Amino acid sequence: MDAKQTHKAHRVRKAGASAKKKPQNRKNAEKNNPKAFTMQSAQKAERMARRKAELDEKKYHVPMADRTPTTPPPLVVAVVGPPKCGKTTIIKSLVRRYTKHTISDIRGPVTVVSGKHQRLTLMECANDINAMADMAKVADIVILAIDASFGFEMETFEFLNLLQTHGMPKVMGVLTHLDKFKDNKRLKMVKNNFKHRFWTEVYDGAKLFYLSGVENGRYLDREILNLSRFISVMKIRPLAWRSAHPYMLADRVQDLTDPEVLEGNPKANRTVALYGYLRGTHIKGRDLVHIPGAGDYRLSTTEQLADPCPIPDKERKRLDERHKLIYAPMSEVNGVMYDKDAVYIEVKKSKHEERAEDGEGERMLSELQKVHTVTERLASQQFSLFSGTAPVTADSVRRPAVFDGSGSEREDGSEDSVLDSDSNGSGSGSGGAGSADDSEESNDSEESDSSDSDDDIIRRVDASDDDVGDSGAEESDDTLRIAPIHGFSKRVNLMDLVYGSAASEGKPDVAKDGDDNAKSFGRIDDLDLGMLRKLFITSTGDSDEDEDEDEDSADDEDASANEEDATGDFEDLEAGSGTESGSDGEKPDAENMGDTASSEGNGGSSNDAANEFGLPTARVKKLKKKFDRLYDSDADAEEKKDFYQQQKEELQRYVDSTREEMEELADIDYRWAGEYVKVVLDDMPCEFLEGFDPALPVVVGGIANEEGLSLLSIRIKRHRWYPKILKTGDPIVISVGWRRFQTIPTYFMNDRIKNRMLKYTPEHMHCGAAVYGPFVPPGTGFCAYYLRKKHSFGIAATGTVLENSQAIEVVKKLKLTGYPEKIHKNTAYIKKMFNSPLEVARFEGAAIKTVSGIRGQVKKAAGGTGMFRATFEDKIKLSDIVFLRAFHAVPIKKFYNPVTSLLAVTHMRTLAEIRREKSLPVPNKKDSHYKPVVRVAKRFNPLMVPKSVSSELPFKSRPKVIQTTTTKRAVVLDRKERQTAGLMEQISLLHREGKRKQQEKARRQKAEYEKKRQLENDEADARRKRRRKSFFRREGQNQKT
Amino acid sequence: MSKREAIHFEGHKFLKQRLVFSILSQRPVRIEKIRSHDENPGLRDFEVALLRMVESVTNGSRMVISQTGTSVLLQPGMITGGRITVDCPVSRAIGYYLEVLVALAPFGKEQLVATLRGITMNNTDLSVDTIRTATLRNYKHFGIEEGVELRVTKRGAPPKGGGEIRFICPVVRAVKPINYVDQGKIKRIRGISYATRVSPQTANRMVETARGELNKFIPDIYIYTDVYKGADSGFSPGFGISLVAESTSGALMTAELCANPGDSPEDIGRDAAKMLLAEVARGGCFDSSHQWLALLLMVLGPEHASKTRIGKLTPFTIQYLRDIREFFNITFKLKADPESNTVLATCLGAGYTNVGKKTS
Repeated sequence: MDAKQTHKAHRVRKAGASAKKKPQNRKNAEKNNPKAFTMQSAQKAERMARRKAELDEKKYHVPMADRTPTTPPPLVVAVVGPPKCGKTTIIKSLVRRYTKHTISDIRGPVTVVSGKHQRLTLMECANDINAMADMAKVADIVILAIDASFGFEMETFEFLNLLQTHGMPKVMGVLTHLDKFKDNKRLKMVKNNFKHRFWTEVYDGAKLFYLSGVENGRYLDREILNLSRFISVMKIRPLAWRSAHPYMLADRVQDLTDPEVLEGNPKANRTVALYGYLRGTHIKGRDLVHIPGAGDYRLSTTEQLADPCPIPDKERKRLDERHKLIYAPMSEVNGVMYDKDAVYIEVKKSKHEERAEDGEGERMLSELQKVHTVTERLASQQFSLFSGTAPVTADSVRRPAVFDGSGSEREDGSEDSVLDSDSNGSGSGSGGAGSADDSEESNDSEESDSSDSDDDIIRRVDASDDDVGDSGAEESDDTLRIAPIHGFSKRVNLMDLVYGSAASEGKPDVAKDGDDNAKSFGRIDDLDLGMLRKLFITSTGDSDEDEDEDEDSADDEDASANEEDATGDFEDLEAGSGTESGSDGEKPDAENMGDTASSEGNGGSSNDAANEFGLPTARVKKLKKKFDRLYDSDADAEEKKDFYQQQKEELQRYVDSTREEMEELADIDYRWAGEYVKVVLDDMPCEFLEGFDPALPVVVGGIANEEGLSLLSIRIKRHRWYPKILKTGDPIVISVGWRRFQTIPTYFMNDRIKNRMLKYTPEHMHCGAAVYGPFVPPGTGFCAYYLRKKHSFGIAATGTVLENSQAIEVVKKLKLTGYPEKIHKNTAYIKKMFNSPLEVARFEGAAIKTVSGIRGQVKKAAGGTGMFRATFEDKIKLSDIVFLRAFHAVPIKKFYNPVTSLLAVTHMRTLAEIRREKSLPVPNKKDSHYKPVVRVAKRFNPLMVPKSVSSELPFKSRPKVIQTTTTKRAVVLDRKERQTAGLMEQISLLHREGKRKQQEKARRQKAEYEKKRQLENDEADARRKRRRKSFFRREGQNQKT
Repeated sequence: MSKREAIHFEGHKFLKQRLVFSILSQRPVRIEKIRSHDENPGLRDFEVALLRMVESVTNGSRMVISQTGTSVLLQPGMITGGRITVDCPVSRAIGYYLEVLVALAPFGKEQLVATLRGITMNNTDLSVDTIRTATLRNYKHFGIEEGVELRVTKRGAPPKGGGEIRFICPVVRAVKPINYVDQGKIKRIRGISYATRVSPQTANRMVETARGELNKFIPDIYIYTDVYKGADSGFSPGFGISLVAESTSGALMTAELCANPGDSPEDIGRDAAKMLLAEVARGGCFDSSHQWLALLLMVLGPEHASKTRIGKLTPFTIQYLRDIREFFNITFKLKADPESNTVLATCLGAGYTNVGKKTS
């Protein structure tokens, strides 16, 4: 081992192909494989380490509680895209892939079981910005359908922007219409281009699918299979907003209004039941919800219904055929729809008529139907009922088969049978209705016995009327309530005491003795001292350590019969931490050990069994436990964890404890995420049902404390593709949280002192805006758009909410101008700035300024016309304009209008729109015109010094009029003079030339000299450096030694 | 569409908590028949002062008091915090007003710096000492720790008062849920015994008897004596004692008593000690004077479950729970624990976030 290990040397090939191979050109080796060269240089290694640390840091997210319930609700898959790009075909293909069903007409969400642990709710997104905004808020997975033959369309990008502001879910692109490309090369190029454009928008490497053709009205099976596989492996990250709010994508809408009411007033407010899977957090009756497009409502009741599309309960290798369920109540897949107490069976009329002679039962059923539709009133109700909820085709009539309310177990059984019936059909069908619906399932062959539910055929029977629904549940509830009273007959049920019906009546009993103060004056003179002592740390009773309480109590139960000295050694170890008061009951013995052991279920065998330490096993166990607690405690582990880990674990702890408490809270009637829930809303406007369109998503979003209205300070940026800048005062729609509301923004820019109003948003910058709206948690992103879409790109702006506040001060500049009336030395009287002394009084002490920059101050009003006295730092001129720069608070318009797109839309129009519609001219203010500024060049008179002054000045400073002869008169030269002048000129030229040459030479010589100096200096520097280096090296070595 | 309809109440009782709930839940409240059959109908001066104070710590609140003073409508605004000064009428102690601030201040827009003047301690409201040594320390279970401060600058005994305190409370975005069911065992007792404008020996005499009573249970007792002199001692003579027992798990049990004219310090000390023992005997992680705070902060937590153990429900707490349900639509699960004679209270938080707080 200690001998040096020897390796066999590498044998270089001397023959063959490898020997002939030229040594590779490794010029770009480092470039191609940078990691391999990292460790060659310390600097490089350090840089790489830093880079890696930065990348790692980027991966961190703010930890968020993952509240996904144990049976998660179906993932919402939104299929989005411009019209005619194949969205419906994608859904149809996927439904077919998952369930072998073909839906001809897709309306609303379609829920399918897509795997052993996964369900999907597929929903097509309508091409309306409101619907898109709602969809973006609930989608977990987005499939962006893109028509490759056409190219990207704006809808895709609008939707991506909506997604980004509402928390980015997973996005997958799907290219369709690829079969239109005949040229393969071109196809390849197109795919590549699309891919890269898509990547820039989503992220590099985002999945883009190619669907290359349509067969039987569906995409190719192989490609859809791949797509479904990708969907199934997608990992969903919790999004902040959604994990803190309950929400539900309604897949069914039902009108529960009393027909009597509707008869009297068809426009009466409706009672509406919405059904869907609850997502996010929990919800409860009387909670406040917001339905985007319909407004805020308080839930009247919530109920859990049997999951219509359950995940198979048993663990299976693969999904059984009969578990591949589909649930699309608005699309009417099987013609079956079930409520808690009723099953609706769709009977195709045309089919009946075709095969009228088929079976007696069928005929009887249609007979029965006819009989009941004869009663006009009821019939009309039924139609209105359904036309509102699910606008069915004229030839289909739904008929509820109602269970008779004889027994609860039977009910349950029949319900189960309904759930299972579509696949195996073996549901026992104990009740009449059970068999009825089975028979319906088997393609309406025989309808024998549904006669017992005559009256109920027409009307949906309310659960409360017929007391069938949750009779089982109620019973159990009752027993629960009764049980403790039976058990502990003296004790009062606290829940009843506080919240029960007695509470509402018996309020006065509390009010009598309860005052407004929480302070208590409980003075008990006859306290149970023994009990009280136990509550102190000094008590000798059971130790304060929970975990081995049983053992400890066993210890001090019986201390007298101890005789083993060996155990005595461990005494103090045990008594150790808690009890210093030297108790008498601290000596355990073998018998005691035996007791505890037997109580733990080990049996008495361990009594005398001694292990290697020669101690009883139980004793050793206990010691080990103690040791573990002392030395392997979690405290150390806790310290080792970094802050991020700790935070994550803390959140997880909260989630876990909530899960633990769920059973505790069962009787408080919470509806938990993942359940299929029916929520009932009172007082919905009738327009909600009358204009109901299943293509538009109905989202029920819970709101916690986002109810009140306030001013919102938001940071906003015009979208770079929106072709115009946004104007203050133009009503804009903001989509934030669950809500969409129209409001009037006031844009501003903060200059660190004040918020200055902007008339228009800046072109490429963020600016602030103040709007009026409901509370929004700060930090929430939003999207803004105009209701009237005028431009190719719909999203006008995006941003974040910064603050909710009752007062936001936005100011604009106000310049008051005035003119000097009279000027003394530094004092001037300014007129026309104010109209009354009162106004002046408001501005006393304000800074003023002239155009030329002379600063001053308002002093005091002078006279009754608003004239005032002002002082300046210098004398001003009568022609100066004096101005006062002030800031004027702009009132923020308090306008909040929820966009009720699911009801009748009423919205505020912009001024321009109103003018356009009423064909009013734009008001033309003369003063607001921009006219060309004509500036007359200022002409200054020559400086005139008075004679009296100039005569006093010294000669030097005296203005002079110098009149020389040359300026005075012309010179005429004669011949000789001309020759002399010519000669002089030649001489001076020669002289100048000589001088120039001389200078040139001197410059050249200087440059050469400088160069030489430079060289010498460099050499000297190098020498010095060498010397220093050697000196310091020596010095360093000296220091080392 | 749901309108923001006011919640109706009748009677003058529980006004304080209803104001607090209204502001926190942003739901308007209308209280009617306030002492309508009384000889002296309508709001009392301290209630009016409370309403004024609530108005001053909020922005956008609208308060309509009827002509007779028998009905009040409150349209809640946002809690702003900031600097406020309140001159509290001497009909109630500062604790009455301070409790409202304790409930509201963490959810304001900015740090609250409140100066309150009046009576620092009487026998109906929590004393400022108990608020300082117990109430504010209970904050820490909910994640409100740093920067909470209460300073008693002057003491003022009833009837004239003249005390002054300064309360500083930071703001939080959200409180933490708790799972706090272990009430532990009492490990130490602390207290403050104070005297103003009486012999300084009085404080020591109270300590003496209180210790005598408590020493039977635990040796770790320390009761501070706090004697104020001169200008800091208010306008009236008085003395009293506030005791806090702390358990191994951090539960704080409080009792306090202050003297009425003619009481001897020994009696006060002994009675206070007995009251503390009674409080300890009730058990729970929050004593009966602080059940309200625990319940409120549990409700205002995130959507997780919070669980705690409290002593027997007082009538006050029962009405408090009912009002919570009225305003926040949150029902507590209350389960009696027959072993320790306590109540386990569980609820799911309302998911309350402080919308007023700015993002940094």
